[in-house]
Amino acid sequence: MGTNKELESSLQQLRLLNQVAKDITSTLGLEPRLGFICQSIIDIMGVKGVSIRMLDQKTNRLELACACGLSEAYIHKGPVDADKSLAKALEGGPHFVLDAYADPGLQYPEAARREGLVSVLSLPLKGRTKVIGTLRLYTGERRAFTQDEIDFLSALAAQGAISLENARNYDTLEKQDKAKSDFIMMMTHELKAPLMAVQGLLDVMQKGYVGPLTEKQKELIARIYRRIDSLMEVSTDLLDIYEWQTERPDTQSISLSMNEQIQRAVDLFKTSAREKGLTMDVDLPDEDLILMGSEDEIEKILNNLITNAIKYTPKGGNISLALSASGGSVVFIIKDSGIGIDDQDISKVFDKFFRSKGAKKIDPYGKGLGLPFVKQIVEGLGGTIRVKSEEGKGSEFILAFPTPG
Amino acid sequence: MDKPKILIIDDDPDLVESMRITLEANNYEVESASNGTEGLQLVKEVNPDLIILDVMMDSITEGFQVSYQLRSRDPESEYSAYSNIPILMVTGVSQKMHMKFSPQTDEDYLPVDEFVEKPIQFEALLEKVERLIKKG
Repeated sequence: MGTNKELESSLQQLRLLNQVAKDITSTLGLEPRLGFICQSIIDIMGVKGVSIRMLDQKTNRLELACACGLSEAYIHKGPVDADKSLAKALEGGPHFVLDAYADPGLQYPEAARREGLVSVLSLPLKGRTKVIGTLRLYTGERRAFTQDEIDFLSALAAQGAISLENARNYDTLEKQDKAKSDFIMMMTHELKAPLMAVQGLLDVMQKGYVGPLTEKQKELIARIYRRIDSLMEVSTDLLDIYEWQTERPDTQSISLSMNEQIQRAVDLFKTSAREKGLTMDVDLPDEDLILMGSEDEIEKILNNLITNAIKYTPKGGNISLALSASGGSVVFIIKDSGIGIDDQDISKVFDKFFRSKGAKKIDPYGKGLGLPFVKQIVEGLGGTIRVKSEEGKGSEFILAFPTPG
Repeated sequence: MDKPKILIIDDDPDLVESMRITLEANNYEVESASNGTEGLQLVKEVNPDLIILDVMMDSITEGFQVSYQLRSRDPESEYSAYSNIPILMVTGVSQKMHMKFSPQTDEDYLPVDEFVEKPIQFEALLEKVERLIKKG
């Protein structure tokens, strides 16, 4: 029986090690993973409580990351000073105290006594270059740990430390990215206000409200106006794209008929297509294909793609839009017989600020924010977008959305 | 007949200037204030036929506060004599904040009569000004 129990315990230990090792590459849900580790240690080792604390380099304190089996009062007993309490563990090796409240190395002996903690084992969490925190086990009775147990816990701490370090690095990167987005949004807002004021002042001059203008003055004002317009456009696009990125607008997702959305977009653009001498074909299925999203989002996707198709297709060309259901997805394809995208450029068309050589020739003022924005919205709706193109022959954008269900 | 009087409450002096020039060129008399407090003071002094109100001034809600004060339903309000003056709100935020500004459905929420979006199209502004003053 005793052997069976030992085997069972070794198996449990291996399982936990394996689980923690697998978690290393994962970046999400740090808290539940730590909770799982702490609870598993309690189960396997039969101890009273487990805590994981992370070292804050600036304050030299150990901040609680996770605790199991300990009372709120004990967890929040006060700031844990790295020097006083865990110096030995932080130096690198496991540190064991048999009678916690009698040990001068313990920072809160009285709290430990009230909590009923007797023996304490502290292990360093070693990151790639330095100790990043501690793992602590507390027992309710006098207990020594065997070398095997300490080896197991050391292995666990080593694995866990790398996992924690990954998660922390990921957090830092996310914070930096958010700070960058916030900065761009703030700058763009700041830019828009004076631009709007300039537009207003130019407008009253252009209308002749402040006196007649010469032809040359009119021409120059029109030029300034155009540049201001293009700056306004880029500001609006930037705000759209970053706002969407940081927080998908809290518009409610509703069931939308893609058939209707496409028909509406086509109605909106058919005049400008005709004026440019383009034909437009629309192929919609008889039954309504439904998407979950907001009208605003679908409208932005369709308007962007149709505007591009019209812009980059020369006179006499054709634009076709098709909607179908295929393999559990709603598939929308927009195809034009326009200038196309060359092989070098095609992988970059969804990059922010990228403009293909052909696109630059046709519209020198474009900003390269339309397609990245479309991609962002499509992916926000759980869909995918890809592009096929041949230079000089045309482009085809294929969008697939999950069927709600 | 006297020219209709319009009070602009907006903290951007250049925007005020272009609105003033446009409105004066179209036979309106224009007064302006650069913040809510000064604006409310001028409402009492000038008793305008229309108020053009910017949403955001010193604070993001200053324009809202001014409209609440002017349209207060409290009969004791010092502005009760002015509660019928039409308000045209200038905003750059209605789309961004996904707010419903419709005066029919949201009268309690934002008691103004009409909106113009920034950047201001002066044709649209003039058309709305004319319509609101006729109605008022």
